[in-house]
Formats: sequence, C-alpha cells, structure tokens
Amino acid sequence: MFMSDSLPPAGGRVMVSGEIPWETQYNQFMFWSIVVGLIVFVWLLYAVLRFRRGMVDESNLEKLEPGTFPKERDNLRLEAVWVVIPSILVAWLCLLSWTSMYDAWGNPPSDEEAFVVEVTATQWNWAYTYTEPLVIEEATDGLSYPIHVSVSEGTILVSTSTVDVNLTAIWTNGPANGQFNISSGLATLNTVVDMHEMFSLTITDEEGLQVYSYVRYAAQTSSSGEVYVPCDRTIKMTMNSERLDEADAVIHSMFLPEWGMKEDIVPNLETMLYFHPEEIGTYDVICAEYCGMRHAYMTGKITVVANPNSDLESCGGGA
Amino acid sequence: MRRKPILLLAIIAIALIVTPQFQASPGGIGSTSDDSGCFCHTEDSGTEVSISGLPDTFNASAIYNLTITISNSDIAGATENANMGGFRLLIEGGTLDFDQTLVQVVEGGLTHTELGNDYRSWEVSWTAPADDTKVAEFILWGNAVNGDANGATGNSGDGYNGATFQVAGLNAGAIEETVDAQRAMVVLMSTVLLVLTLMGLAAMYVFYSQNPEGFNMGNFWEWLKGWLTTTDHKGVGLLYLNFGLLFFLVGGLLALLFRIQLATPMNDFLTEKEYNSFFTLHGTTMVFLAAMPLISGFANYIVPLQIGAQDLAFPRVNALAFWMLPGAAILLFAGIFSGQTGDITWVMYPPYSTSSGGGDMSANPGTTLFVAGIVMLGASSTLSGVNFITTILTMRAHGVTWMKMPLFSWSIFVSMFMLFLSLPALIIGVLMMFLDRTIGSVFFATNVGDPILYQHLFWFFGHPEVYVVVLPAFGVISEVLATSARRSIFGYKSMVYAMAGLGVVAFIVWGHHMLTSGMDPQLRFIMMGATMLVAIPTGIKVFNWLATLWGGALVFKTHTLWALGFILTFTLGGISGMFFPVAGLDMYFHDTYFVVAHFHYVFVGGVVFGLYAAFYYWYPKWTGRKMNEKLGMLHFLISFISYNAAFWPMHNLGIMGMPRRTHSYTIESGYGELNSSITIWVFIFGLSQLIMVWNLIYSRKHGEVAGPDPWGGWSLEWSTTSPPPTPSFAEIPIQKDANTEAHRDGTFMRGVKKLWMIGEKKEAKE
Repeated sequence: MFMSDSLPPAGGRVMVSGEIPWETQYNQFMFWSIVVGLIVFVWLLYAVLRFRRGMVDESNLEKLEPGTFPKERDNLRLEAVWVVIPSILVAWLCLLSWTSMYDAWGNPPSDEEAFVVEVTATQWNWAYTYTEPLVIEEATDGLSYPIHVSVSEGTILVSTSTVDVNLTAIWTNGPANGQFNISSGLATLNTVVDMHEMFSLTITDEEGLQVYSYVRYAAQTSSSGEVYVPCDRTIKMTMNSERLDEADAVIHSMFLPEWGMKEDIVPNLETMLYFHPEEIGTYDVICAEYCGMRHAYMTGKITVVANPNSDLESCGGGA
Repeated sequence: MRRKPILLLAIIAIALIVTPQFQASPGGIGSTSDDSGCFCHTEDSGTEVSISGLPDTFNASAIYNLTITISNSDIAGATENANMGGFRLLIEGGTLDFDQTLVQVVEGGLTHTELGNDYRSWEVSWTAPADDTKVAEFILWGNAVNGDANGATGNSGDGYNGATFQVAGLNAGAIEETVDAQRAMVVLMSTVLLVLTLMGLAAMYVFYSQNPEGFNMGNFWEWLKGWLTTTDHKGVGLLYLNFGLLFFLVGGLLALLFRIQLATPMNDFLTEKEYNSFFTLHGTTMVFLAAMPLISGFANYIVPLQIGAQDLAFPRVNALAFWMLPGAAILLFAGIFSGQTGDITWVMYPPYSTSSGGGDMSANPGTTLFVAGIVMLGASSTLSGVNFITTILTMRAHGVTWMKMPLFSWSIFVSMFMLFLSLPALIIGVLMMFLDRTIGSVFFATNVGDPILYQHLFWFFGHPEVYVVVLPAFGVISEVLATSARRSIFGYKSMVYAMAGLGVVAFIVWGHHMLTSGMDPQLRFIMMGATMLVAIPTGIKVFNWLATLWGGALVFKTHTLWALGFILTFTLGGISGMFFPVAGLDMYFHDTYFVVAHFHYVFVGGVVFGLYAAFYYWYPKWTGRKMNEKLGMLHFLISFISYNAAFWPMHNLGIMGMPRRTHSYTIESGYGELNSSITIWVFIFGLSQLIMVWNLIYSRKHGEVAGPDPWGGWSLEWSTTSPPPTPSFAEIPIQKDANTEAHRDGTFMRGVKKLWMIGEKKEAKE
C-alpha cells in the first residue's frame, strides 16, 4: 500500500502490505483450496511416479487400435464420489460466500444514520461533498494545556485552562478572515460566522509555532483529491461520474483497499459504497476501472479522523 | 464462376485501403473554412502572426494577457480609420475575455469586429484550463490588409498566414507532435507492404527448400496460388495454425514491451497512451487472433479426420472464415501506425470506448477501426461455428456415433455450439458501439443510453468465450493423456456429460465479471451461486484424467509433459477462480492483479499448454515427421518453470492491492520488487517460445520419420497416412468398436436405472 507519513493525525494506522480485509473468509477459502490442491497434486505425483511404462504389466491394459473405439472403462461409484463430494463442498462454499454478501451489499444504511459523502469522479480526479458538518481538531503532541474551541453563528470562543500563555488565533471563513490574541485563558470574538462556509482556525504560540488547528467542513463543502471521514461511524459514499470539458463521463470504480471495498461509478447511475472505519489513519483511494489515459494516476487519500462520541480508543474516544 | 470471389476480394481490399483515411485524422483542427476574417484573401508567407504574453507552461485557472500581432512589411495598411488587418483565433482549452467593440466570437472562434479591423494587434485575456495536465492549443490566422477595398470587394494585395501555438500545463507531459493523416497512411501502407513482402519471401524460401533444383517463379506461383485458394480442410487448417502462431508471437512481443514499462516504479519507457494501447492489443490479439485461430486450425485439420469425413461441410465458407482474419487483424492494428490505436481494453466498456472529441480524455480515434475489426472477427467465428456444427452433426462416418466420438471432436462440437450461441450478443453489442462511434446513435451514451447493457452483452459472450477456448484444450488433454498412458480414457461418458454441462453452465455465470458494476444485488446473488457450480464438471474432468493415469503405463513424450503440466497449472487457475464469486473477496480482488494471475493461469496454463501438447502430438500427422524430443523437453522445462515464476507472484501483487491496467505505480507502494522479477521471468518465458518455433521449422526436414500412428492412438485420424491424402479418405472409413456387449449404458443412464430400480425393488418386496 501507499505508505502515508505526511498526513494527520498522529498515531494513525498505516496499512500493512498484503493484508486482506475479509480475512476470515479468505482463510476459509484458502483452507479448502489447499485441501483440494493437495489431493490433486499428491494423486497426480503418485500416479505419474508409480504407473510408468515398464513398471506395470501392460497385458492387462485395453488394446488401442487405430480406427477402433477402445474398451470403455468407468466405475459408477467412483464417478459418483467425485460428483457428490465436490457438490457438497460447493454448497458449503456457497453458504460461506453468502454470509459476506450481506455485509457487502445486504443492509445499506439510511442517510440519517450514516455519514454521507457525495463522490464525484471525473477524468481523472476525485471530488467530495460533505452532507453534514465535519470538525477536525488537532493539537500538537505534548501540549501541556488543553485548548477548546467552539464556533457558532455569532461567536468564536477559545478557552485554555491556563492563563500564562500568549497565543494568537488566525481564522478564515469563506472570504472573511481575521486574527485575535488569547492571553487570559479565554477569548471570545463576536463576529458573524457563515456556517455554510468552511471555517478554519489555527492557534500559534509566542514563537509562532502552530499548537492547535481546527477545521470545520460545512455541509455542502466540496474538496478535491482528499476526503475526511469520522471514525466509528458508518460512512456512505454516494457516487456519480461526471463529464469534464468535451469528454464524455466514463466509468470509474472506487477502490478502498483498507476496507476491501469496491464499487463502479457509472455515468447516469448513482451507486453507493458503505463501510465502518474503526481506526484513525490515512488510507488510499484508487480507481480500479479503466477510465482512460491517466487511469493509473487517479489516486487519492481518505483520512479517518477522531470521533469524540465513539467508545473505541482507536477512534480517539472512550479514553 | 471464378469472378465472384475475385470481385469480393477486390471489394474487401479496396474497403481496407480506403477506411484508414477516415480515421487517421487526429481531429484537432476546428472549422476555419466559413471564416470571414481571412480567407477572402490570398495566402502570403510574408505575413507573420504571433501571440505575445503566452507562458511557457500555464498554471491551472490562471489569467494571462495576450497580444495578437500580425505584421507584413510589404503590405502597408491605410493610416487612419481604415482597414489594416484581421485575425481569427481558435483555442482548445481555457476561455477568452476581450473588449467586445474590437473583437467578437463567430462560429466558435474569435475574430475582429468591423471596428476591430482597423488594427494589426489586439489584446485578449486568457483564462487557462482548470486541469493543468492538458496542453492548450492556439490556432491563429492573420491577414494583413492594404485597405484599398473600402469595405467592398477589393482583396488584391492582401495576404494571410496562419500559425499554431501550444502551451502545456504545469503537470502535462511533453507536447507530442500529432502525426498527420497522410503520414500515418504512408506508414500503415508501407508496413502492410513490408509484411506482405517478407511473408512472400518466407513462402518462397519454404518452396525453394523443398526442391532447390526444380525452382522457378512459375512453379512457385502455382504452389503459392494453391495455398491462397485452398479450400481443403488440411490446407486451411495449416493456414489457421500459421496465422495463430504468428499473432501469438506478436501478442507476446506487445506483452514484453509493457512488461519493461512495469519493471520499475514510475517508469516512463512507454507513454500512458502507448501502454494502454499495448495491453488492449495484447488481450485482443491473444484471445481473438492467437487462441481462436490456433483452435480453429486444429479443429480444421483434426476433426474431419477423427470423424471420418472427407472435408468440412462447407469448404468454401471455411476458407472465407479464414481469409476474414487477416482483414480483421489489419483493422485492429491499423491505428498503431499513427499512435492512435484502440486503447479501450479487450472488454471495450463504453462510455469510454464510445467517447470521442475529448482529446486525451477520450478513446483514440483508431478505436473505430478496432471495433470494426472485432465485428469482422465475430463474422468469421460465426461462419466457423456453422461449419463445424454442421460437419459434426451430419458427416460422421459409420461407427462414429455420438457416444463413440473422440473427445477432441466432442470438445470442438460443444465449444463451437457455445460460440455460435453466444456470438450474437457480442456482435450486437459491438455493432451498437460502432454506430455510437460513427453515426452518433446513443445506445450506450452517457445521458440517455445504458453502459451496463453493453457489459451484460459482452459478458454473455465473454464468459462462454473463455470456455470456447479452454474446452478444446480439455479435448486435447483427454486424447494425449489416454494415448500416453497407453489405454482408454476413464469415464468417457461422464467426460462428455461434463463438457456438455460446462457448455450449459457457462451461459448463466456471466454476471460474476460484473459483481461491482452497479448491477442489481439480487442478480449478483444468483450469479454467485451459478459460478460455484462450474467447479463440479471441471472437477469431474480433472479426476477422470487422474483415474486414467492410475494403473496405466505412462510414456513420457513432450506432449505428455505438457498435458501433465496442464493439469497442474489449470487446477491452480481453477482454484483461484473460486475466490471471485465470493462477494467479500471479489470486492477486494476484482480488477486487481489477482484477476490477472487467475486468467493467465487458465489461459496460458490451460489453453496454451493444451495447444502446445496438440502441436507436439499432431505434428507427425501433418508433416509425416516427429518433432525433436530433446528440443521439446528443453522448451517444456524452461517454459514451465519461467511461466510459473512469472505469473504466480501476480497473486501476491493482487493481494497487496495493485490494480490492473495501470501504467505505473509509486515507489512507496512496494510493488517494485515483484514486478521486476516478473518482467525478467516473462522475458525468459517469451524467448523460450522461440525454441518451439525453431523445432517446428527444423523437424519438418530433420525430424524422425513417423508412420500413420506414431503414438499408438486409437481414433480415425491415426488410420490414414501421415500426411493424409486429399480428399482425406479415399473411401469413408468405418469405425470399429472393441466393446463386446451390444449396448452399454453410460454412467448417467445406469445411474437413472439404478434409481428406477430402487422403486422396483420396493414394489417387489411389497
């Protein structure tokens, strides 16, 4: 997998090469594959080594004469064995495979319970639109005091537990931007904040080093190339393919190797993909359906960010 | 009588020569002819046109101020408020903003207004495209006017000229020169001529080496004409085999080229378009121009001999089916000479394959010819299908009853039947695509059509097609293994039922190629179950082969080794196939290298190994000499080892998540090492095929002389001389039967009767 080393958040899991998401099922199929393979290969090897010319009495064999259909050999019982046993095995494998079918396609989440991201695939780019706000907070490692930010339509509020710091906050909100100081542990700025625009705020200390960042993607905010989703929530991607300039829209396929998910994105048809991330980190997005010249380079990143409402420690909550 | 075919051939030849002209145009230049800005005047190289303010490379969506200037020192313009010059500017990429009193838009291009022609330079601002991987193009025409017309008709003394400017985006590759239509035509025709000359010379050498003393051009022409006009099943069969082998090498060469590209991360040995075209041609060539003709070749040569027929039912149709192939091959490859061949993958999914006019974003213009070639291949295969089905249905000799027919003939029968039933779906789909590309119909178009419909049509053909090529390999292996073990095949009747079963099941599993396509999940559910069923008849065949070896006296000839190798690799390929109908695993493996590994294991390890066995097995029948065993063993050893070393690691790449059809991959992805080793082994595998080619040539003169039945086989082809006379049997033979019982039921019937008897016994007890 493409290793990620530059993107937040710290402590995120990097996918190990060669890992398969549907591991249990893969192992079950691998087990039966090895069983069948061993039977065939051992049988073949033994037959080839044992029944060679010169090692068997050929007088018992049926004579082959050109132009004469030879004596038939069959054994109903044996042949029944290799009809019935493989049939049972196939039935069993069918049952096994149908279990994953339910996980893959069987129970799509509703738009209310899932975190819905609208995906627009073009040649050769991914674009995303959030349908509900998403807040990403990140504090520098080892920051000795907690920082809390809250944003509402008329106020930006920053508080810290200590008064001995002199911090500067710089914010942008659509076309508007500004900055203010935090010196007494609490700062409130009364200003109009457009909650339909992306809001970002970074806080730097006296030396100008960034100690904290806050980004709020409003619903309907679009981003290109990379996407952020909350941890421990069902993520639902609703996907469309669109035309760019003079070219027709073509088929793409969103491939998320981390969760082993893949679904084609067909022009004029909305398809969907859902999964449940359980660990924060940055993972790959790959286009798996041939879509033209730069198909190989239609890649992107998906970042799973902490979800304070989660009970999972790996999702930044519950601690 | 003779004129009709010649006329037909002439029409085909003219069509072939004319068609490339329609498609070779790169299609960059827009309409300039209806322009009032320049073309009322005469062309003059003294006029210079230029655009200043163009950047070397543009940034996405940046705005640049451009000045368009024309100059001609010989033509002085009028000085005050009179005409001095005009221009026309066509751009591809980005948008223009301008002062509307001086400049206006006419028919999609920019030109001066009536007020604006009092100048020789104009200013416009250009907003670069949002996509900085593109190349923007400016086509500028300028006209220096002397102003003596006073608005009416006087154009004398004016002069126009044109120029084209290109600006690449920041992230675009180097600007490529587009090959103009004429040059592509010259390259194409020269190549066709060169290939024909070389083939002519090779044929001449073959004829010369047969009888050096008696050689003269008249004899040679008679001999060549015999080959070109033959309708004998043996002659056509050999033509098929040579054709298939030639394109097997061409397809292999393409694979070697793109394996170099994939050997290291972020390689740029091939451009993206070249890479995409090459893997497209590799797939299509290997399936339609190598595997299918080779199978047709063996079927042509062997089936009439095996069933005791003098020829096929329709010998002329047979020759026609063959001679459509070279035409189709030229169509498929035509675009490659202008760098614009089809880049739509062998599955040809629309809407990409129907897209045009979007520059690099759309499929190459050569795609139209490519699709036309596929239609032609379909027509050829249909003719073959009709021919073989009719032949086997009606022309079997006495004694060759359904349940006494050699398994190779059975496999050809089932496979041709499947081909015949599934081809209409492909031809309809491809014709619709062809219409979409040419006359603008909207079967698969983005807004109103249904691209998934094509996928259904294609795979309704595509999956049976896989079995169409692999079943004859099954037939070959059944013949070779039984003969090598010096006994009859185990479970003949269950082999036949298994093949027929595969022929039926193959038609209801196509959806497993489309599990992630946006198809209805309920349909996916059915396809998953049906796909699993394929394992049962395939299993019967493998176990019957193993049972045939059991207790036999195996002789190790080259064809035996290939057959044993076949069982090994085909079993592996079959097992890895079981991973795809599983929803959870397919969502991961679909369109990754795991798929590539799987189908190379069944296509190469199955079909090609089977065909190699057939080459070594039947070579004595058509030349009268055996192939060299030492060279054969060497070929097998090198090929078998390098083949597995090359294709096995592709499973690992798939598990690591490497998607197929990718031009390159990053260093961080960690795919580099495996890919490098694959490339090395693929080269060894590819080069080792030359051993067989040499063996085929060498053994024709120096091989050990073989009698009518060199391996001890039983079927009717071994009862005639090697090579057989024409017509193949002086009198229709009668196949004898060693089974003493008057009539023996097959496994199936005996099973049914036993079930029946359960009831009878119960009744008897009561």
